[in-house]
Amino acid sequence: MSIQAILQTIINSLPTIGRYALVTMGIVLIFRTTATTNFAQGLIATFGTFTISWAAYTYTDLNLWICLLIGMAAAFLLGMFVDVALIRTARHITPAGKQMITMGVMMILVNVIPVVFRDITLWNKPGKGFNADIVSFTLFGMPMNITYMGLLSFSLAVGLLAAVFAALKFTKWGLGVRATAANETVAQMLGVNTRVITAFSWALAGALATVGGFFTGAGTALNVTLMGNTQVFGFLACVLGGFGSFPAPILGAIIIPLVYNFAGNPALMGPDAGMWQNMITFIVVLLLILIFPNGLLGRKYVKKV
Amino acid sequence: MENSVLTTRNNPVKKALRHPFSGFISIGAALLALQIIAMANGGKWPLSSTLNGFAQVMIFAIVGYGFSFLLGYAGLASLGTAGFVGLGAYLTAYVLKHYPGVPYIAILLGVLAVSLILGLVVGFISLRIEGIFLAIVTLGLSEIFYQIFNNWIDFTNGPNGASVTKTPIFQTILGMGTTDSRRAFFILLVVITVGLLMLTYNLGRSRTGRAMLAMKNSTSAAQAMGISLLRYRLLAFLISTAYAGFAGVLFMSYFKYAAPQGYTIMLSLNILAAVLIGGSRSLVGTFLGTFIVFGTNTIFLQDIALFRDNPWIINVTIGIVIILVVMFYRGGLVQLAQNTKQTFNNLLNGWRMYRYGEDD
Repeated sequence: MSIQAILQTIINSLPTIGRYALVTMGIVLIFRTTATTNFAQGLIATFGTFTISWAAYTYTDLNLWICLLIGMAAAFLLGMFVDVALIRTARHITPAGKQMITMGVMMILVNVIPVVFRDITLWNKPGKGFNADIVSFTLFGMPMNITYMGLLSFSLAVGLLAAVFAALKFTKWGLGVRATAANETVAQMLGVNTRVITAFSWALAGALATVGGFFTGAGTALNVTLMGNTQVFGFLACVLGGFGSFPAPILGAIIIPLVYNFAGNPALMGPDAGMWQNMITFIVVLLLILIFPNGLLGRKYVKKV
Repeated sequence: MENSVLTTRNNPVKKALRHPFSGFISIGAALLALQIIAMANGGKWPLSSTLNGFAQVMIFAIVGYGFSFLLGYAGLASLGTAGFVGLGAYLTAYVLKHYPGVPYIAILLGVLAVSLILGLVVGFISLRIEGIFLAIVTLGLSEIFYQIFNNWIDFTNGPNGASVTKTPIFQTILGMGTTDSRRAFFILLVVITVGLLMLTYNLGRSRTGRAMLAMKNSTSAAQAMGISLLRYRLLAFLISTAYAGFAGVLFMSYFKYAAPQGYTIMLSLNILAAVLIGGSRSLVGTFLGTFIVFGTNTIFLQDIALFRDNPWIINVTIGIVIILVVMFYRGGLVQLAQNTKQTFNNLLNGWRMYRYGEDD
């Protein structure tokens, strides 16, 4: 592979990195505040994406970006509902039990979404808001290409994640999240309203993942398995980076698309690469997780009896 | 009065009924009776689709028994189950198609061997990765299986699915017709189900089962008591994968068809749901749970237009039931039955007290 091909492959990974990072951020926010590995994250995002398409179809003169906001709001409310109705009530159940609750939510959503949005099959009406342009630029004197939507997805993801990290660092909500993540009971005793913190974390996770879903579905047909792969890779990104801190899973979300795109490169892996790239990625990531079971940036967790 | 109590206690029939095996045998007898009735009246009732539904329940109940070892005894949640069932099914189809001379028992042993080797691998993974993260890692593993089923055309026939033309043993060796061989295989399934129920029950009460139970409650405490984490965790995975692979062989032999879409995470979730709903440590509960998850739709609700046209209703209900069971009723259906019995007995005693006055 030439240097140009390597750089181009990295640039091709940027849109996927953006989408995975958004979903992963949601998963880790939920995990840190409520000790729940949310299996329904991808489906909450799918719900948001379907809502975007529904809004774009129903109100034809509405700007697509307003539709995106409507979808984010829908997923925001759904995420908040799951926390308030289920996870808050199940606060004292073991993490494995909470995990199974989210699996139940997943089972409900996977069956309800196709019924509620029966008429929605396409992401959007052709032509509206979707831009199939390819942006060309030069990097170190070499010509590079990226799709317009991909560039948008990556920049929006970077912007949103920067905002979330800034909020975590500088706002009162962020302080509350960090306190809740460290120890929920103590945070409560010190006057942090952990109920609001967890509900808002779930809601924000849904809204962020919806942006990921919006770009995953861009220009294609919609179905309920839209976010299946993203969900699994988002989880693996969290385990790979380490669940212990907020930025570490983002590292996982950067590594996985790179592995994926290099595994799918015909010049590197042969003509059948596209067929096996999913599998190769899973194997590489699982091997990495086996070597670093606490995550690349994680600390060893010491258990007390 | 006292005398009668004593005679009930010594009554051999009642004693036999108390034995847990009697429940297993009555499940088997009921299933067998259905098939015999169908044979007697030429398939008018129960319909063959109903019997197929029960066959599916029996096959997935076997997966459930293995999974309940993992979840109920060892406390490990794995989402790789579907992959192992699929592997068993596809290996059976491949061998039957390409090497028709291989005896059925050899296929069975071969699939068990492959499942055990892969179970060992997953078991070692589980030693590195704890608790809730294991579910995520096994989720990745099940995706790898799906990719194999979908893409390795020579082995699995890809998205079109693999099929077998003849039921092994009954059609290939004994030369029965299609309907007869399916009926005969159903009876074989009943025998296998009852046998495995007994085997699994004993396994759960053996030294192994008790060691796993100790491990579930606290790994550190179990280790302190001298229970080898390595040994019993691996064993739990080996049992679960062997059961799943075995069920895959049976599935392929009975239904003669397998497609990659059948072995996604949804199957793993359904099996998890079945074990949870029934009660993760009771075998009869697992069977009932499997019946609710896999059976109700195909067996009863197909006749009702509302459910036939809207298959999502039952799936959403299962999702809601999972949530309710996890949140409010960890014991599952079995616990519900026990509590109902307890309440009934209390009411009865209260009435007796009221009617006859207190003792002494």
